Amino acid sequence: MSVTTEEKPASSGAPGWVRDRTARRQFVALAVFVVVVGLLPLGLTDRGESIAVQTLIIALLSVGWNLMSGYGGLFSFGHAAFFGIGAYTDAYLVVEHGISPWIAMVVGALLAAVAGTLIAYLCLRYRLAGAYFALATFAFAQLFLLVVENVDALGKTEGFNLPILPDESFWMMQFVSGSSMYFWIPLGLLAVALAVVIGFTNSRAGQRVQAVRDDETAAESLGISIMKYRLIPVALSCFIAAVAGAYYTQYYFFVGPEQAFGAKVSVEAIVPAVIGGIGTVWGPVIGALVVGPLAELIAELLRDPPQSLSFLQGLTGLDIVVYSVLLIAIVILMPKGIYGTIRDRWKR
Amino acid sequence: MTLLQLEGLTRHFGGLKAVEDVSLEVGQGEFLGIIGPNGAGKTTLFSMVSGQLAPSSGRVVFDGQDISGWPADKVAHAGLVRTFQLMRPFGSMSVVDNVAVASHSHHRSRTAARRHALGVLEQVHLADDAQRDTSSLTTAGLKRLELARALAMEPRVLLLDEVLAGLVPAEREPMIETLRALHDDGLTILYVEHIMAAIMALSKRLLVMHEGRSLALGDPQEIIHDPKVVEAYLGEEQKA
Repeated sequence: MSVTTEEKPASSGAPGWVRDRTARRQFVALAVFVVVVGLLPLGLTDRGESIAVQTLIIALLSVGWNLMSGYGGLFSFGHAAFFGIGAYTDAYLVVEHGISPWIAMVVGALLAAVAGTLIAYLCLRYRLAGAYFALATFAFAQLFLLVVENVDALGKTEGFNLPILPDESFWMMQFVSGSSMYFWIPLGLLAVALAVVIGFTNSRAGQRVQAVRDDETAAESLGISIMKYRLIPVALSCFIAAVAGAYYTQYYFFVGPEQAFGAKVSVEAIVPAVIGGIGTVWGPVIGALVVGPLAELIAELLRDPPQSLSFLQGLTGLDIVVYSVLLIAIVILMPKGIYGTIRDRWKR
Repeated sequence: MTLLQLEGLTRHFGGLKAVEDVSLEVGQGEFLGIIGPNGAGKTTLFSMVSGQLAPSSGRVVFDGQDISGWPADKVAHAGLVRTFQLMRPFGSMSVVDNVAVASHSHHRSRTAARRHALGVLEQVHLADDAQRDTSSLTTAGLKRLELARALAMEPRVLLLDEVLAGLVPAEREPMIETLRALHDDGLTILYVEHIMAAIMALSKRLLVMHEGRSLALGDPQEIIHDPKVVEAYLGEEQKA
């Protein structure tokens, strides 16, 4: 259709490729992704759908992590802090004040963005970099975990149970059990998050963020404020992680300290991005497609192992072991992750 | 007209005086060469002017405004842009996008920035490599990229730190021509270099630094025969 016009020079003398079409291609891929995945509920069992929802939540969390750590270059080992703020703000506002989860989600996301920006600012201000930065983020996540476990208003170790409403309500994000809405909502949230990533990384601000990540000194000498372009992706990243947390609460009708702020959540933010490809649009999604179903498979195996694997009965933490093995294998075999490696092959 | 003025610029690292009381006036459109043995303080001087290092004392006045101690990004926006001796490409980006990052300081849209970047790449004869990864560039290519990024900022003063270092002689001449063309277009350039042929061919004035101080300043042809300068260089040769 418009192929011929696209091949024309962007301006007199400039070749057509000057008009960067990366973003447009990625938006098209996103549209295809949403349509294809959106049809899944038609063919999935209830159980399959619950695994799919879990996968979408992990994907959303990891897409958020990837903005700060993949594109921004600040390695967060404490994204549970922001996932948790989202989950708890949602639970608190919905349970205690009957506020719509949609609003609670946005409030929690804003709180997380502020908290994340503040934490990152302090770390950068005091020149914590690399592993020290990662440790600091981990410490903050643990700090939040301890606080939540000890504050009466936040249910201490009990957490929150959401009230089950008598009627379906989109506004209150409640539907009959097994409704596909429980799948389409997180898919929509993921699609919006991916659209933000695509739009942002291909914008002026996004290019500056990646320049600062690649070489701080060079970026600064080209007029780019290091602090500003370090913090912008942090805010976006924490916002998205909190949205994932809020939906977690909504989907499971429950949230407790470990589910929200536990170290496992921080690992679940990192692993999909690393497996799929750090600093790529699709890496975290592809990684989540591996990790999400795998996590469920392992959980099932532990709950009800077949005869031959009966020694697994009652073991916990096997999922972490499997993540670790998977990570080591990926780092050795595909240092740029599944998507990153395939993309690089394609280019050659 | 004086565009850039350094007044008693000094930088200490602990007890070490890297740069000591350097004063200098650079006129609009001037091409000033800076030479000196290794460790003379040339790069430290550049870093103070461009904001990577705050001076221990002294002032940097640019276009009538005191910019001493300004952060590097603000100095760059004001119009003083430097290159680095060791190339610092943005490894995840193509050549044209490396330059477009700088072009973005004047162009908001990606397309406008890339179009501008391509124009700059043509200026430094790197347009054919525009879509390649920076990892595939040679040293000469990376030096040109470094120059292109600085130019894309549309600087009023360009601070060049050894853009010829690491180039084989055959690669030097085109680069010297590029620099000459930039100067002919009216750009003010401060140029640190070890390769004397280049500095003599380009500089209208020459500053010689030695052990952090300004040793001599003036006409290049006269300066290199100055006994103090000869001694500083011969002293270095003998040690080496």
